[in-house]
This record gives sequence, C-alpha cells and structure tokens, in this order.
Amino acid sequence: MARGFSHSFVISTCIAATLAAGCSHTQPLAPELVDMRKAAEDAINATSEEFAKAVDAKDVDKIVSYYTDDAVLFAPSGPAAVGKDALRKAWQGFLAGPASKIDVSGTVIDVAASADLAFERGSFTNTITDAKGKTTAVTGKLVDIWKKQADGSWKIAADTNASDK
Amino acid sequence: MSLFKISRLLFAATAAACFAAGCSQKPAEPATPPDTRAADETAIRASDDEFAKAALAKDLDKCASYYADDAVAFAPGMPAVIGKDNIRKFLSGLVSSPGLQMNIHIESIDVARSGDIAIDRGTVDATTTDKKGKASTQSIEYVIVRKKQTDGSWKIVADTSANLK
Repeated sequence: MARGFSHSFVISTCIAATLAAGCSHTQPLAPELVDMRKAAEDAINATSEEFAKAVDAKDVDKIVSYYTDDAVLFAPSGPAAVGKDALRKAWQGFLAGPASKIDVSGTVIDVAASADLAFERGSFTNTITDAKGKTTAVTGKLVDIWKKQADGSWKIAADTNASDK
Repeated sequence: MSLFKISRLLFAATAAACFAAGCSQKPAEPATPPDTRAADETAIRASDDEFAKAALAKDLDKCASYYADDAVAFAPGMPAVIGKDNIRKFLSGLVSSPGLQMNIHIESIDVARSGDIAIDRGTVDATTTDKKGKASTQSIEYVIVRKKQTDGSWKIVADTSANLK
C-alpha cells in the first residue's frame, strides 16, 4: 500500500515536472499557422467588403485608401496605373463613366504562412448601364495582391484584371 | 536497498522514460522558421533571367516549366489565360514573335517572411520586328506572383501585365 502510493506519486510528479520543463515550448507549430492564415483571410474578406461599399458610394478617397502608396492597377483595358495618384485618376475616370456595378465571386485567397502577404484570385462581372438604360455585362478574372501593414490592416499592392473575351 | 533508494532509482528511470516518450519527436526549441528571403530573392532573379533566355531561344517547354499547373496570365489587350495548356499557347505566341528582344527591369521582389509566396514587379521592354524589318518596342508593367514548390523551386501562379502607355 505504502509502496504503491510512493510509486504513483513519483511517476506522476516526474511526468508533470518533465512535461513542464521539457515540453512547454514545443507545441506543434502548424495549428498556429493555420489560425494566422484564417484570421488574415477573414480580415482581407472584411476589407474587400468595405472596399466594395466605397466603390458603390463612389467615394474615391475611401477607395484609394485601401491601396498601398506604390500600388498598381491593371484594368481589363487601358494602360497600367502605377502609384496612388495614377490610381486615383483611373478610379475617377471609371466612376465618371457609364453606371457600373462590379460583382466579385469565386474568390480564393492564398495567405503566406507568415501572414504578411497574400494573393486573391476570382471572377468579376461588371454590369454597365448606358444612358438609355440598356445593360451590358463584362466578365473577367482578377488577381489581387494584399500586403499586411505595420498597423495590422491589409492593403492592396496590385489590383489586376482581365476580361474573359 | 531501502524504499528511499528504490524511489530515487525509479524517479530517475521514469524521468528518462517519460522525457524520451514525451519529447523525442519534437524540437527542443521553439520553432522559428529560418529566414530564407535573401536566398529566395536570388533564386527568383535567376529564374527571371533564365526565363528571358529560354524565350529568346524559343524554348517553349522551358518557358512553360516556370508556370504552375493552375497559373493565370493577364497580358495587354488579351483575355485572361487560365491553366497550363492555355499558358503554353500564350507563350508559344510570345516566343515566336519575330526578332523578339526582352529587357526585364526588376523593380522589387517581395518575399513573405515564411518564404512561400513572392511578388516580383517591374517593367519589360519587348521589341519585335515586323515583316519589313521595322522594330517596335512595347513597354509593359508586370506583377508576377510565385509560390514555392515542395522541391524548393519557385513557380509562377499569376503573371499579370499591362501596357505602360
């Protein structure tokens, strides 16, 4: 009885001590990384939703605030817009044109394990309504590059698009 | 042998056993992944260089080998190109351009801290010659997304570009 008690006490103490001393810093890394990526993906999706609202509201200041200072924009046609000033002009031109409604679908976001860089692929449909109320849909594909900023927010470093036809 | 001595022996043996069982398959230190960004950037620069050489040598297989199976390409004035077969056709058009010369100016290479995703950005001056031997140069801005493969090589998952003018 006394011996049995003594053994189990020794064993349980040593297991606890060993686990605390030897294993406390060696949790598997993978689940943490998955969590970081998921959080990044959620943050990017939330930012995309805000971005879409800014586009619907034709709020150019708000729209450009989602881009990094040196961002690029490749529209399905026309020259590249490089840098924030060029981006602003490109968006102003787009918003001053025929009424457009951009819908993005089927997006897949790939986040780096370090959750500092990500890219997104997807499809878009731009429904354009002319002065007579006639609508035309232009469909295409997009690739966006997102960079995490020092303040933890995510910004678009490249917004690239091509039409399907 | 006294009960005390037996207990001490048991303690030592059990500690060794549970240390081995509990920790043998885990690293002893917190896992901070090595920073491979400098080496990754060097590899990507070399890859850009090799691609340009392969294109000039009209080596279609070699050019296509730099792209992932599910890669996308957006080129100026062209619909989105999706998947390796279509990328191959797209590259076939590129390498067969008469008198092709390419000057690639890499502006930046951004590698995620985790060394799994990289963004390569810059400009390309592509010169081609028409039937009369007249050369014309097209300047494009490009943004390329690469992912590190399990064998450590980098492959292009998105190759996007637009004319600068």
